Amino acid sequence: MNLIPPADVLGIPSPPFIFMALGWITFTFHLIFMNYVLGGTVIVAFQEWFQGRDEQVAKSNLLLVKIMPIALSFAITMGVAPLLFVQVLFGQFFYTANIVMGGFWLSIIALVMIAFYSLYIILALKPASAWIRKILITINMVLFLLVAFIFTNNAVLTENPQYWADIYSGAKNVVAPDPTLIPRYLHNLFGAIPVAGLWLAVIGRYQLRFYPQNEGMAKKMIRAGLLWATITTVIEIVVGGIFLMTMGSERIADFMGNGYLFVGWAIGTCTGVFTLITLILALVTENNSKFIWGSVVLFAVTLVGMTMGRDLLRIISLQSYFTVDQLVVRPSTSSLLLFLITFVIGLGLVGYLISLVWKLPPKEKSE
Amino acid sequence: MQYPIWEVPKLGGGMVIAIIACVHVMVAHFAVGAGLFVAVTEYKAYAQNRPLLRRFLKDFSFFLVLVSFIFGALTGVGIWFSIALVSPAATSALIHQFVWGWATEWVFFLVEILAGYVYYLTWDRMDPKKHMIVGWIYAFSAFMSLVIINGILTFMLTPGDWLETRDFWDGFFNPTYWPSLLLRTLSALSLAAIFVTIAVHVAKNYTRDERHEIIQEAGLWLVPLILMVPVSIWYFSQVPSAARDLVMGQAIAMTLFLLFGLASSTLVGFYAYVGLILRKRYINLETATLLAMIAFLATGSMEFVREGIRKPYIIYDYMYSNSILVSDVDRLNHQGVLSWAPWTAVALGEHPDVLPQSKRGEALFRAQCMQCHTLDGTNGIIPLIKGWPENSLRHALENLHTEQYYMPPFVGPGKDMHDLTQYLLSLNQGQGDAMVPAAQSPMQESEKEGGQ
Repeated sequence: MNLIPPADVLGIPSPPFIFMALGWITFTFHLIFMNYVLGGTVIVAFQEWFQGRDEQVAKSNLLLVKIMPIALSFAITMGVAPLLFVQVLFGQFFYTANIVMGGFWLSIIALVMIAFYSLYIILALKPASAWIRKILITINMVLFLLVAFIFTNNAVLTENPQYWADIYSGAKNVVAPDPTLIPRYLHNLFGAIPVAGLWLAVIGRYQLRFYPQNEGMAKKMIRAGLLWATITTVIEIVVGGIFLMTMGSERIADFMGNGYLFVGWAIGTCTGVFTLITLILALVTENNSKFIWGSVVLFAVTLVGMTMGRDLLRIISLQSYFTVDQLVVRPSTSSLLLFLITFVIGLGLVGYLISLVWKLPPKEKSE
Repeated sequence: MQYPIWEVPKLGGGMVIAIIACVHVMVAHFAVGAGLFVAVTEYKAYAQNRPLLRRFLKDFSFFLVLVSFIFGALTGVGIWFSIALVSPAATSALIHQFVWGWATEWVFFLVEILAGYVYYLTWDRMDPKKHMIVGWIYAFSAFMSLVIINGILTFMLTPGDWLETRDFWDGFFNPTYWPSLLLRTLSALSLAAIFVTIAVHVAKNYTRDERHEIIQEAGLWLVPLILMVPVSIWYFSQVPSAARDLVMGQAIAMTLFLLFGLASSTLVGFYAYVGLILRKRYINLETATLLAMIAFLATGSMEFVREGIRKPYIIYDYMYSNSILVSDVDRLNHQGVLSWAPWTAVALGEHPDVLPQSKRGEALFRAQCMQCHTLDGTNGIIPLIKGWPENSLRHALENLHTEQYYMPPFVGPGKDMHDLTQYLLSLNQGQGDAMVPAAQSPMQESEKEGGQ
């Protein structure tokens, strides 16, 4: 008997492609902020433990933590939209995977909330409380690593209904018994650190430009960020290869050359590898601004490509059970228009708000 | 249901939703009201040249970020996660019907978060007029997120013409849309005011006179609560008559909760008018906290009523609270629900195609009852049917929806009803000596009948 619940009888109000495309855009922005938080806590925790006595590093750590709650807010907000779209297209798989994980899935809320408030506690600490800061940032890192694992496990379970029954009945524990799980988790993690490293370099550049008094810290941030990005990109390429191999020959065959999603993924993979060149150039040159921004652009393309690859993996994993073209499209043009008009107005407001901040004079005493 | 049941021992999934929802609803309403409060009050601070208000708003905006952007945002996602765990089919229906509504709300939420952070981080750095514009963008987007979510929430109780047309707008601008929007706006304004009276005490470096002045400002925002009763009458005039009957005495808990919610809201409104505006009284931290607790209980009560009167549906006249579609009842009455709900067998460690007779009753319980009932915890079935003989259980199942108006009908052929009755009876028998005599006799009769 088929345990997979049927797709919703209400169908969808627009063709699947629209939801997928919006998913790529919003998920990419989610990754940009989420990676700052996830990779950033790894970097800050490392620097706290091993370089904490260096005043400049301690100062840069504080600056990075200061940005973290805002980045986390945007990671959550930008994550909501792709989570909505995955429910529209693959709801019956996503919901069942959630239920099979049950309390672990819901615990994400509590874990992120604890991490969120502990960031504000770190910011409220006196400079002398170095040990508490170290411990709190380490706890934060562990919390985010755990959240990342729960999300990865959920994604694997969503794509692999064959594991549901055993986990739900208690015959197996909640960790998906799938060979791709660990490589996929590491792929997510080592994908996050380079992005966080680039954030470090960009923040360093910003400091260098607007706060010349922070030159020492800024230069250290740029170098540390580029080093983290370069080293973990190399690891990421290896881990990505292992992840691909663990998908199994059948899925690899389905994945390779499979339409525009594959093309997007392949372009993203290439730009990811090219980033190594720009990162190394940025590391070895003095005036490295253009290489840093070049890496940012290449990484942005990589993130979009990886997002498309993720969609492709989900599609081919589920194709024997379900394809999105089985969903009944009951067009609701007016509600789509409501969204599109609001989206344009919203983008305008976001642009206006960013322009207001951009035009602000630098803080007088700022770090 | 067609999905696996998310089991939460003792507590039940519904209670998990209730706990998260109660705090979220309060914080989310606060965020909407606080947006309007900061925008209007900052304007007043400039127009009337009152730097104190501006100083307070600067402190208050940090409070807003800590409460609304972290706790509010995460509990909001928490509701979404938890309803999908407990009622995936209903969540799926709301998502599929209103996906562009949800997406629109998301846009406003994104703008709200960005505007809120810009507002909080740019005090004293941004030109005051521009800062006020940021405040208004924040207020507008926060209010618009309520405007959107209100359509989806009210749809669940009063889907209106959508039941016929399946049209987005028919479902969105449903019969309770406008009164509910007004009720929620009143609630949002008052919660913002109450939080202000707490924040002014938590914030440092204010004299008593300065606190008093800010409390007077907040008091104005509590007065609209006086409108709670007339707007509630309007709201309840629009709900289905069966739902109205529940609050008009058919379900006494609903009636009491409604009266409590209305009375406490109205009293707080009168208190604000008489105490804060006419007599210009001061509120200390303890009283402010007490007001917040009353507001929390009132908000929780009203949400409990809103959820409660929707029963036996989760989406009125479309889907029962156990996820059975109204349109599927005839078919499932004929074929039974076990093939429709294969996960019930998996939960019992069996294959859905070869479920042994001895486990059919329990599987039926999981399929039709367990979305609302635990065994012996929240809304536990064991205490509910304690001491009931077989005849009573059978009678109750046959007449669930007519005698227990908030229960969906039992769905399935006679054999299923018999199996579920026997399972419930077995639960009773496991409950100690008190019910053995009552349960034994009809059980034995039933066995004899079965034997014949």
